Amino acid sequence: MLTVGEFVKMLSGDTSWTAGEDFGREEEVLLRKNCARIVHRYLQKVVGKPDETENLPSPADIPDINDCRICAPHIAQVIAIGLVEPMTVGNIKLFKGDDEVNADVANKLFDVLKADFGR
Amino acid sequence: MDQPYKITDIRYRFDSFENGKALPCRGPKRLPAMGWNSWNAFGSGNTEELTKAMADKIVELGLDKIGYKYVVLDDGCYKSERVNGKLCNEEVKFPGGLKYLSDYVHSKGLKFGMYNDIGTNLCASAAVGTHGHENEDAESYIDWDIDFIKVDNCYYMWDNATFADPENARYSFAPNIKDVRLTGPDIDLRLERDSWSVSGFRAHYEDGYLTGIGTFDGTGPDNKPIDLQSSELWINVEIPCEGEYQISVLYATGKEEGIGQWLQIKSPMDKDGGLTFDGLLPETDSPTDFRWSEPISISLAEGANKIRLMNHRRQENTLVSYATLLEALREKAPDKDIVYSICEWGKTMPGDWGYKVGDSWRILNDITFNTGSAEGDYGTCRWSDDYTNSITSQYNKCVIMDEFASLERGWNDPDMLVIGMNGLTPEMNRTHMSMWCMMNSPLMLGMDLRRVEKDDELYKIIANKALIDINQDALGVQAKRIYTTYQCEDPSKEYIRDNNRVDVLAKPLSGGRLAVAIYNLSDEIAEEDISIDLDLICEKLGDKFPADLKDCEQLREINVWNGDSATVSRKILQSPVIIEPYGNVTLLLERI
Repeated sequence: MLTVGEFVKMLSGDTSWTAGEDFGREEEVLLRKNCARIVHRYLQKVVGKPDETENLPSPADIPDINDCRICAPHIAQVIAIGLVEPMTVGNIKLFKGDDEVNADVANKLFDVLKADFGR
Repeated sequence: MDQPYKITDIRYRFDSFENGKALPCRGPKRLPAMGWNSWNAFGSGNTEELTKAMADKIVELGLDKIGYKYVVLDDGCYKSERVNGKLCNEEVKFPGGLKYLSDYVHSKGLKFGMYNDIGTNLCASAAVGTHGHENEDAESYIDWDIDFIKVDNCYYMWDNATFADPENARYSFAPNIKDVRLTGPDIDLRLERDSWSVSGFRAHYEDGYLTGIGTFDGTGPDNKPIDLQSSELWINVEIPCEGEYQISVLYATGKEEGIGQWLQIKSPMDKDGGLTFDGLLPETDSPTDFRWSEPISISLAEGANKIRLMNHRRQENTLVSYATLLEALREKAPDKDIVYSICEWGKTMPGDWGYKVGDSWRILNDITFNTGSAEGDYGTCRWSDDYTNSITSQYNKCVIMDEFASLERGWNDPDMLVIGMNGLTPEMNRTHMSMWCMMNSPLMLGMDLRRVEKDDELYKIIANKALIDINQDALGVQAKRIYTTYQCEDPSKEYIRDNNRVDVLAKPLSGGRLAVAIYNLSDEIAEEDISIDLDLICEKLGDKFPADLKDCEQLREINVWNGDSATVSRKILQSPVIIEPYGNVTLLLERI
């Protein structure tokens, strides 16, 4: 189990960039939807990466992508970049934003961040 | 977990939705609100500094002089948790505090608005929703001297609303029902299917039982926003003598859209807001594991009785929650004028009940999820989208909801304006502005106003006085779609999602005038044979058609975009009509 605070510190030792952000309490369990928000804002504010504008996933691809409307654009970005993959459930793909972030997802995410952004 | 409020007052019940009477807490009738809201521009990254800059810019541009007066802080302005039970400002973004900001906005001659939620948390997650804190929050809002409050619906306890536990659906629907039994003095009846009838079109029979009793979710674009979206089971039974009987239901519960656990039973003998039964039945193992309920006492009259089995709690609970906050605000400051903006995204058919408490009610989920940011991203919106995130997704629903809106009732709200966001052409922005004005929608600017200069392209759209006058016309009548090139029986009622079409809307105005707008929703130039005359408009608008125009042979036609005027006959449009992709022609018509 990873908390919001732990994840933010793993992204960057300097957490000053989170000032004024609305990621929830530090001790909250990190859910996939919050993970998407944090990573995308980190890429925008710290890395300075422009948003993807093409090949963004839609509800037709991932039916639950809009369940969290605050997170939806962030989820679309982390999927488009390949940082977090949707899950296959039966015949469809779902983001499953309320699931906890497990070690596999976190490790893959940090691998991609390191390879693509040197972070 | 706490349970939905006990409802004893019929004014909060489904059965009063059609009586046209607002609750005493509702504010005065008013025209659609105009102003600026922080969400589309900055998401939850809005700050005190940005808000002050927006207020300054509204005044600098003179937008306040043409009606834009509310400056509304959306989500992201509070601390993530309460402090001593009270709401507090987020200290990094709003260091001066909310009263300071309110005073600043008021000092500019503007009005100050804020945001909260009827659930436990705000949509962006802060655990400061008003549920259970209505009194102390009302006190804070009065202390902060608010003039407007937008109230969201995330993390709602008794509905599978956004971020709420999906299993809360058990409150929103009745269980599946297979059989009903009535016992009493000299009577033991299995109420067979031939005595059943079903209202609405949502409930249906499946493998020998009735399912889908409740109100269906209108948050997404799939559901038609008009007509009866909730079903009841009616059982007609002949009773030999008035008295107490026992009713039992063979039921199975679920926790998903269409199958729930909360049942309402209404006898013709039930008075006021009371019901024979209004609560959760014991959970069954699955939605097809049927069991008999314990007998429920029911009073019945001699002769024919219609017993109603239903669940309107999705709408009733939401109404009660919205009313609870507003009632607290009224109690703290009875004379304070506060615009109450309901934002439950059309989930519970707010066109039915929103007028009882609200000045306006959102009709769908957000027009965009791609908000801008304080770092200079203007955010993005689209012209069309499979979900709700586009101008036409909102328009396509709102345009057939005109019967819900009026000066007495309040306004359909297809969300904030997206003019000034990325992804839209000037033509789209102009048509968007015309649509929102014709539909009497609240006009809440959603962009970073620092990008607007007086008399630039964006300014000319948002400050088009003729269009704003149409929106703010004293008659307060939402335009009706009187014609569409899409093949359908009734343009005013057909829910059309195919944007390859041209629509014509007509809106009666004060002074015996009329506004007519023609929209090309498609991405290709429209060259359509359209013939619209005053007789057709009169037929479609019925008694709302301006009397001054009934026998009028010549009219002055004024184009709201360029001011061109011409004299026209009763034939206002004659083929062919040519309109640019995404374009509009918006006309004012008056008697000469």
